[in-house]
Amino acid sequence: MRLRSPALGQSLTRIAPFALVAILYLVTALLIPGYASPISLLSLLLLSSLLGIAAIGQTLTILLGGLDLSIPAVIGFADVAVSQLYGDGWPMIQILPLIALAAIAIGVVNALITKLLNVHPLIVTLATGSILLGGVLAVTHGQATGSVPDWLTDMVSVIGQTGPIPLPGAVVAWLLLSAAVIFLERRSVLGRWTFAIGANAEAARFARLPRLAVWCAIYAVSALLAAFDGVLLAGFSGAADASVGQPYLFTTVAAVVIGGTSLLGGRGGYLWTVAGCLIITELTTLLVGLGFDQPTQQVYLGVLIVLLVLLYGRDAHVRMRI
Amino acid sequence: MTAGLGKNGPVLVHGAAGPLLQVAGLRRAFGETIALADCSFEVRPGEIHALVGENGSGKSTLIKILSGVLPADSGGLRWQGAPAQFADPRRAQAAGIATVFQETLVVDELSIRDNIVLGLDGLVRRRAGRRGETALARRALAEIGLDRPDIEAPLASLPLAERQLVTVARAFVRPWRLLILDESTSALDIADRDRLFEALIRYRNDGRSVLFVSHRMDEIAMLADRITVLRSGRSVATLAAKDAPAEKLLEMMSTRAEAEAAEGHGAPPRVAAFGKTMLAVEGLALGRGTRPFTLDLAAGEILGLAGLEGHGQDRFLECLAGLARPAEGVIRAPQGPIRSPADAARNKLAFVPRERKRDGLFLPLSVLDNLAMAMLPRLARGGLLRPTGLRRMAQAAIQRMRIKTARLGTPIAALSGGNQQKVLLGRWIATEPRVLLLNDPMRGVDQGTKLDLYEVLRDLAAQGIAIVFLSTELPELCLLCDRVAVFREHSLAALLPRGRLSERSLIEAMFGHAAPAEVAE
Repeated sequence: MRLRSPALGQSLTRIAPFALVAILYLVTALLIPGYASPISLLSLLLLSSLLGIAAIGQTLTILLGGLDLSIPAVIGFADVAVSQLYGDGWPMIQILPLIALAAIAIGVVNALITKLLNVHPLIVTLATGSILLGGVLAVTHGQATGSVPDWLTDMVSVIGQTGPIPLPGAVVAWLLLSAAVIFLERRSVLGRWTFAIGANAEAARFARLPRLAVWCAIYAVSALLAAFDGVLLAGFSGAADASVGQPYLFTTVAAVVIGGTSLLGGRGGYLWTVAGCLIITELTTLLVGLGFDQPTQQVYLGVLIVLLVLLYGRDAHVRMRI
Repeated sequence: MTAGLGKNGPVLVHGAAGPLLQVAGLRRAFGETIALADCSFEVRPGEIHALVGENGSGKSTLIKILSGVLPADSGGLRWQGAPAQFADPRRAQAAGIATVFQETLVVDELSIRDNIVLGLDGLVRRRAGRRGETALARRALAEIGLDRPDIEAPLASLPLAERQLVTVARAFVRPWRLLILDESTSALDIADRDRLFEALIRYRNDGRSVLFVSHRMDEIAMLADRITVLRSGRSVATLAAKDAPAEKLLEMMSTRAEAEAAEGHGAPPRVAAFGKTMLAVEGLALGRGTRPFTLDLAAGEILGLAGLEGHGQDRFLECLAGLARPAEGVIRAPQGPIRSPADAARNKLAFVPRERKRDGLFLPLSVLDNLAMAMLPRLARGGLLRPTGLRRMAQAAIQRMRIKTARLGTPIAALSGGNQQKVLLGRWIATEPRVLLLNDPMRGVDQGTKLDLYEVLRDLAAQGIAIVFLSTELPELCLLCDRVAVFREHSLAALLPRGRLSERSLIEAMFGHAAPAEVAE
């Protein structure tokens, strides 16, 4: 008879993403001269940070049993808003709270429509995203301009420093946010409620968990962090661009899946998405380093991600136990 | 249609042929948990073979291996004398093994017919054609005596008992030699169950075999030719039914001394010392035009709810929990009337739903999470959980409920059904409710767990908690309850005090004092 140990299988699934991060790094270092230099490592971390911050919301909403496809639109909105308003002479101390409030409102609307009208979050978040991006383009007539403060540019510069720490601000922010999210997933009431609702929504109803409030909170967090990412991306590109978030539609979901978080909800966690983000950034860097042009990169990235998920992203049959 | 050994009756068939299925030294572990340690027995052609054991004794794992759902770690199967292994459920089916699993696995959106023929067809091609399928489904339903003219109706419209019968009918439409029933009668009322049993006996007499798992000793006595006892993943013995009275089986399944008390012999008389009224049901009508009734529940009382499937007792329990609204009347409680789950929460009412996997458990989460989930804010400060408080709460619950688990972090899915049920009850008991509403909590639970839970419930009542206990098992109602409210036609038909409780009196009330055949409908 076949021999199989689910316990071993599970711990393998947990370690596999991190092993892959290391393997990809070594492979790329061998293939591309100069890849192992500190500056390349920093740029890898920086790009991963920009993806990683956007993927926090994706992970949490998927754990909750939903998903958030409005993330790219919120990124684009924040990117344009911060550049445009700062260019118009507004102080950042006013711009940032304004963007944060708008983002929270978008997240809450996503959750309310989904739960109160009982529409699948896939279509709800795509729709709110479309409305938001359309609105931005209408208001700016598709010609957003503006500028960003120097400190914001420094936050997303490879040679940037954060006080005494020799890392750009975006990377430090990502590390702090990751630690906070991983801690709160496990140790906060909201975190455990998120897992429970994602694991079994009916049981959550009978356990009298405040499901609507949790949905609102998680979607608000998702939109808020997407907006933060948009502000960082404004610093990165230095110009207003409503479509700057588009790549993150695919990559945030892919990072979650490659990490091993179940799209069915309730299983996984942000720690594994961190690995997923590093893997996707490494793959992109590898394809750039091998000299492929942008369209070809996209084709290969898609192929590689499907292959990865096929290789080890499959859920062990936990439900088949005993 | 019959592949059997002729119609010469069970006696000849019994002795004549070699075994249909032989199981030798089967073993299966899940991580550190050994579900099946060493299991050997055989099923002969033309016999009804019962499999008994506490939950966690390995029955479900064994059945999953026989059905091709799980591979075994070691050990072997022989099917009709030849070595066999079933790599997937289709192969087991092709060999002639049809399994009805413990969970009611149905597709709510499909019709009754499509649920019965589910899995027979290819992706595109229908094997029998629509008309043929209808005929197949009707024949299978007729076999088990379920009379549904509306075979096109969506399955969601059926009550639980009939949904369960549909899963049985699904097994019947396959060309089987061995039918495996894993706790497949738990939701059936007595009339339905008896019709199913008659069908099984007909098949047995035709030379087919049935492997039958049940926790009900009366069913086993009624049906089984031979009985294999499992304990802690090992097959302890296989006995002929005549050598195996219930007391002996219970003793073999269990290391407990209390096992003899299992079927209600020597139930301690309850001392009625009830407190003030916790719930006052006034002029309650469950539906439009049903007869209203009035009922009180006192602190420290265990009130049983009984009735044939679909006669309103479930609905009444949901009304008490604030999950359903009655057509008329009011349910008064100390902190205001109960109209919503929030009202129920304010009055410290806890409700434990019937289908523990669908409505109760968070399967991917740990034992700890599952225990604490209904009271997290109380275990937290500033939104952050306090690990020591959390562990203390969980350990207290594990001790109180006698839950067998390796660690607090073990996924709840790795526990046996009985222990899962203990976790679910423990979750609500830990919230310190004033009223505990239980919907058939002993369904699919082994004797050992039942004895533990009876004790827990009696302790709670002694502490002044009011308990409403819906059950489909009459001996259990007689054993545990101070009063039993019997429902019939969506109203209260009788309220039997402890002095008048017996299986007979309950059945009479459930059937409205008429002969069972007349009211079974």
